[in-house]
Amino acid sequence: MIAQVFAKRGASALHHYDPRAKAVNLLTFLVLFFLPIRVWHLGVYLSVLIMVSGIFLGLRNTLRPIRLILPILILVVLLTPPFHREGDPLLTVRGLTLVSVSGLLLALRLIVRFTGITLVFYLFIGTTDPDELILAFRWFRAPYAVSLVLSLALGYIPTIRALYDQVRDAHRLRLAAEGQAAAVSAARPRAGGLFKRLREAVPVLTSVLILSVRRIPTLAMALECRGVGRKNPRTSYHTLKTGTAFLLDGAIALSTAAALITSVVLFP
Amino acid sequence: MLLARPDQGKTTLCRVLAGLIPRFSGGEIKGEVCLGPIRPLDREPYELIDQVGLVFQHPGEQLLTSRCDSEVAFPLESMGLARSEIQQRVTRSLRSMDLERYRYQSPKVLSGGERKKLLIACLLAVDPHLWLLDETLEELDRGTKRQLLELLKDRRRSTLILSAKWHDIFREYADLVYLMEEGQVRPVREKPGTRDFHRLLLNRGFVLPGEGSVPDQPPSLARAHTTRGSKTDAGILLEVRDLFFRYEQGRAETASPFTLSIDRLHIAAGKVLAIIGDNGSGKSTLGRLLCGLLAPGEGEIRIRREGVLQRAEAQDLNRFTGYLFQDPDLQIFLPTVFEELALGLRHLNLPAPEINRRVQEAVALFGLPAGDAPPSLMSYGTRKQLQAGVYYLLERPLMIIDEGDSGLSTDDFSQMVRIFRDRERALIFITHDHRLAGALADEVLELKAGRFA
Amino acid sequence: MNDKRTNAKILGSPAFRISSLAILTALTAVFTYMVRIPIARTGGYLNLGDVIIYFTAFTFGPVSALVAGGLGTAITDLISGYSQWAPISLLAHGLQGLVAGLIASIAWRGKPSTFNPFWVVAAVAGTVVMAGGYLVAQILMLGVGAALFELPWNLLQNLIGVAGAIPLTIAVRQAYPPVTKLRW
Repeated sequence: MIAQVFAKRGASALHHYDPRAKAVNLLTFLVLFFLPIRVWHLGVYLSVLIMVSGIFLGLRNTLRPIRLILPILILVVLLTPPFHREGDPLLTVRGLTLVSVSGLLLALRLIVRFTGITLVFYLFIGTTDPDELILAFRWFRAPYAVSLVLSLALGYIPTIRALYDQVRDAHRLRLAAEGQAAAVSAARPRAGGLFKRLREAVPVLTSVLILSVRRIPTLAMALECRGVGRKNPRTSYHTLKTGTAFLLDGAIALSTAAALITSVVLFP
Repeated sequence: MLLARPDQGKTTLCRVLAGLIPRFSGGEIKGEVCLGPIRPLDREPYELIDQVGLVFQHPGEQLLTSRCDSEVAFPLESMGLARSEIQQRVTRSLRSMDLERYRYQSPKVLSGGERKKLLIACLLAVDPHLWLLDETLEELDRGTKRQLLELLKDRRRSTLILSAKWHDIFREYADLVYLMEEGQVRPVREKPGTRDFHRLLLNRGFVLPGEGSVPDQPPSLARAHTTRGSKTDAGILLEVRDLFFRYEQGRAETASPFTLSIDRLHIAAGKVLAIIGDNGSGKSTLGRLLCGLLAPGEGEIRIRREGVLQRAEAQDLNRFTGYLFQDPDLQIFLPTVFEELALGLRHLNLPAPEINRRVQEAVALFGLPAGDAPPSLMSYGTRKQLQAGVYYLLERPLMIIDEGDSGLSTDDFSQMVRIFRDRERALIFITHDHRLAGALADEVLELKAGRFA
Repeated sequence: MNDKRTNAKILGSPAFRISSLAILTALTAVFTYMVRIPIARTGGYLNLGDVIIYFTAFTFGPVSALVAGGLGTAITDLISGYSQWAPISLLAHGLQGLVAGLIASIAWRGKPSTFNPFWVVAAVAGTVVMAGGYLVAQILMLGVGAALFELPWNLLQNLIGVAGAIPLTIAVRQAYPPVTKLRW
């Protein structure tokens, strides 16, 4: 399911880049964007990210996450200055500072930071196969049980979604009658109706939950039939990259980290 | 081989043999199970996977991973085998079951029969001594059945095949046959394939290839039957004209999306229509169109309201039709049988004694337990009867039963059809079973790839 | 001879716990992402994820709610294109589930299928943790102004969560009594 957000699977070099290396890059940029360096420098790093994304994923895919966060960015621009009116005033009304330079700069910093973080996560998640992501977690010493919960949950999401649709249909058909409102359906955005629609949703949710909860012992049986719970150590059929390929990607990750750190030190 | 009709305890028995019950179900157990020197009841199931292998009846419940090769590799990883060993076994198993081309694909894109082959491949990779196959051979074509049975003939393997139907091909392979009813198992002494054997199965209500299977109706429940063939407009309850429907997305294996095209279909009051067809022929799609869950792309559906046939929108069809989904649990959410049955009646604002009376009528008619029982704890067959009872009380003019015969014995399903056969209403039932359709319905229509044959 | 009555043994088995967590996580993810009630004005959505998180906390306990809440909402963020929020959702909703689960498991004398007042306390605590967590994270990421703007929506989200979870928990327990035995 995560694949739907991805650029075409396996299409770019970034897709083949080892997820562990990508994680290092992610961390580096995250720290970077929170450092108290000049906004313009942060802007440079953001541009680097945009370029990387544009080159490897294409312009349309690069704009997608940015478009998603546009409303939030506007919100930040509008709402940050009122809370930070100290320093040189930019806009005053009858002697009262509405907008100050530092307020605007802070808003800018926040926008650059948030966009940067968004892009860096997008580059990471958007180019990594869920199975590989889970393998990377295990490599970073996450317990096998957690990775199995993750992969099973991902597999069950479509199942439960389909179940919900069917239950909704079944309830709707059953309760359809002359002059009676149908059970849970889509939008009728009335504020007062919110809790009413919540109440109408309870029968559907009840059926879905009962059906889902009944599958817990069955899934557990399936797991034990496949040996989950054995005392011997578990081996792995799939691996991430090993040998030279791994070292290469590691080198890329570490050298980019080094380059970024150096640039911070040289141009604070 | 163990033969048992639906809901008689086959799956429970399998799970006991694999050590899963009573571990996961709770309850009391007495006696012993010995598989050679191994006693499953004293061991954890995961310790036994190289001795006992189980294939679940519903593959969807047993598939765990996002790729076919990962699925086969999973138990081998649990056993701690080296990667090279796992790779070899995975390749061998996939090739034996002719699934190599699906190696990198998700099990979800496989058809029902292919999923079962995948589960068999999983077992093949582990190769336990005892194979337990719970209705696995259904949905496999004849060639694959034979291939599997040949595979199982290997002297190192013991196999227990559980089935609700007897197939001819079993005669060549079955060494021992048992019959299971209401949780009791007894050996079948009659030799498989002989006339005595077939008669025994027929008497026990089993389906046999090429033979009629529906028992004679007891005289006390004789049908209230209208004459066949009245085609005047006056009797028609629902009519379909030039219906065309297309799914948005195609399925994984086919290039083009599935389409359904019906020139003309009608059903009259008092009639029972059966719609048959293979998986993927469009039976359920048609059912969903007729009850308004799906909207047609073109064409119209007309229903009789106030004495006249009128064009119906989705909401009109919702109210006009009753739809019994194959899964009875989709609409169960109340604590007692009584409340489930009474729900629809309450919305009609009937007085309490009247609601009581009608609920008791439904309870008696469908053989339901007393009003206090929680529906979710009843057996599968009883839940299906409850579902039918709910809709019986809703008194919709058109009833559609989707694959009602799966999970219900032939007797029970025939009884259900009889109950819904009513001079003023119409019934459509959707099924795989050609013989059942012919025996119970006034008219049988076959769907092939979205068109009537 | 094997004469046994067993049930509780499986609650400790890894397969059971993994299975339970996986399904609850998937439920949370589906209801956070798929089931949305639109709000007229801003065009944003409220979701039913918190209903499932509180249901899990009340029915299955703190650990289940921690995992289902944290992983479930994080998965939704990853799927819906808001992956930058995934670590925050993981923490905020995870702790929400944990705290609510801990309080809800305080022994209450009433029957399991009736209302338990500790649920309300649990939900209040869960709200504080979740809204507080998001507030802190959003102040860091979006500044004080935007964070305060989001706050009322998060509170409403929780209100919906508990308003739905309480009747839902009671309904499920009444319709399917064995659910109380799945708690660990």
